[in-house]
Amino acid sequence: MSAIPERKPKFGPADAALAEMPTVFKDDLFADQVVLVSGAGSGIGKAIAFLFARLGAKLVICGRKPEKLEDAAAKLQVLSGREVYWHPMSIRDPEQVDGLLSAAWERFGGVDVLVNNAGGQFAAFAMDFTLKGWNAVIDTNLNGTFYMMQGAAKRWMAQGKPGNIVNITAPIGRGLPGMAHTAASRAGVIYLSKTVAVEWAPYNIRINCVGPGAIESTGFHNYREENVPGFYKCNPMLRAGDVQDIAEAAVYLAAPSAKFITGELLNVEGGMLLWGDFWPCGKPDYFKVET
Amino acid sequence: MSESKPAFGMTDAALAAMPTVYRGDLFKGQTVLISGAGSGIGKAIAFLFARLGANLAICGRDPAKLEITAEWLKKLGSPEVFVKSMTIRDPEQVGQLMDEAWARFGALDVLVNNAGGQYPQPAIDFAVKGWNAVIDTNLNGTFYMMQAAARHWRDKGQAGNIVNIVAVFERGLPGIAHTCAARAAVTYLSKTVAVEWAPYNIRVNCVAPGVVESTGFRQYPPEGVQTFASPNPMKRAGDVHDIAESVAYLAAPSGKFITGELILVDGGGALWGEAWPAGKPDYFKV
Repeated sequence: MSAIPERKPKFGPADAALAEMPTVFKDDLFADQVVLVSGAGSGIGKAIAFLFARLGAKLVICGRKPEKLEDAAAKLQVLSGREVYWHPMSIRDPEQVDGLLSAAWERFGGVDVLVNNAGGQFAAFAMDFTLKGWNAVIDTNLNGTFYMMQGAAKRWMAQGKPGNIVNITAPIGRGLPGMAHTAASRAGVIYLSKTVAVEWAPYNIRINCVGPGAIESTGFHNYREENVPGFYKCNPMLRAGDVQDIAEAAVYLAAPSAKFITGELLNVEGGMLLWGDFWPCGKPDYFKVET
Repeated sequence: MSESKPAFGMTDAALAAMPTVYRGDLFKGQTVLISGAGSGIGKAIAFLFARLGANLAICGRDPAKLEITAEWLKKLGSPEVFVKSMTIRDPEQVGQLMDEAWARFGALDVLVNNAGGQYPQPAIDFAVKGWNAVIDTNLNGTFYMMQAAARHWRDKGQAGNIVNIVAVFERGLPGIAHTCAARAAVTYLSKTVAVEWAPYNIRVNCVAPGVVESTGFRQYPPEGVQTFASPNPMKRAGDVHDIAESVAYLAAPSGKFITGELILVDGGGALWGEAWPAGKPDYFKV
């Protein structure tokens, strides 16, 4: 798609390969619907945006790095043949969230689906968290997601239009040793979602979450190299998932296929909740047991 | 022949015309076995897989109903349809069904365990026979099907894929305690074998329908059906196609990194709302 041949990135598909990953959905599933995806400049967020574009959606994408968004937007436009709006911002700032949503609503007259994918974490044991590090993860993943959800819901209610939110979280059921801050923030988002799935049901707003396990993407660069091989052995399938697995989960929940689903968490983790250990900052000696 | 609208659920013609999110050739060349496909949710699942190009093997207890389903499946585009009337409660009949399905198609790609059932009654009134019948069909019958299919897949070195239809059991199911126990058991059996059978490339997942309007509603008394009007924050029942689309999602490559999972398709009923299949006792009318 670009003039310069793309090199296969170390983790996850190149953009050209991503654009051609097989999908189970029919081509016009989101024809002319408006889908907002946060954190769409790379990794899972980019894959979600690519799939919605291929299914005919008009995309609004946001993220912190303008150059990544601009590049993604150009590719999305080719895939969808439709308008794409990109908006650099941080979800941590409620005013910037308001600015983004106002711009999206003004440009397209509304948004049909909001996918809250933006977020992040650094691998560390809770004993070593600094106050600043802890606050940053909670602020982005939990507070930022809430600002986006509430801002969109207010606009849907004001317009009397149905709404649809998919939040990308994590499989938190057994805790996430090595990322306690993200476990806490993602659990916060999941139970926030379950709560507002009830509060906002009268307004025809559905809210669901996806819990990705070890998904190979550029996000793997956030971890020390020696800890990455373990990500391919941390579930009963003994492999990592791909970004398309998460994109298809988000589409399934956003589409009419899930019109009777709200407040639900769909874990896409190869069974990691049942067997396997994910140790993003290495396995402590204590847990190296003979079995 | 014009169909009259059934009291509950939709006509076959309406079901066949429900919009789907999937591309038309999604299950082309694959074979899908669906139990309890003669009516209700099982029939809806079979209709969708037929529309997506799958060969179908269907089983159930009532041969007449299965024949009507089979005619539709062919009309909807299923290249080959195999019909077997049997009960999943009998392990020998289950073994025979699997042998015949493999003999006919050479492979089975997806097994959907939808067969099952219950009757509404407070647990204090259950007879031993009634309790045993529900556990035997829903739990034991499903296990026989799962194990028999898994043995074929293992022995032939083929990948496998199971979707079990259960229920939303987390807060209990007053009025149908037997099925609550059986469905919880199937769900945790599924989580367990999702790990045990991962080495054979067999995925195992469950779908839990909340209140979904189908011919199955006829089994409940009017005072029970009355509570199905607002059992969740959406204040409506789901339709059988909602369940069919969740099964297709899990069975298709979209679910290739999902195993041991339970998807609730219940309109948020696990979070708010009550359904009382046997009617709501006065005590709880607060």
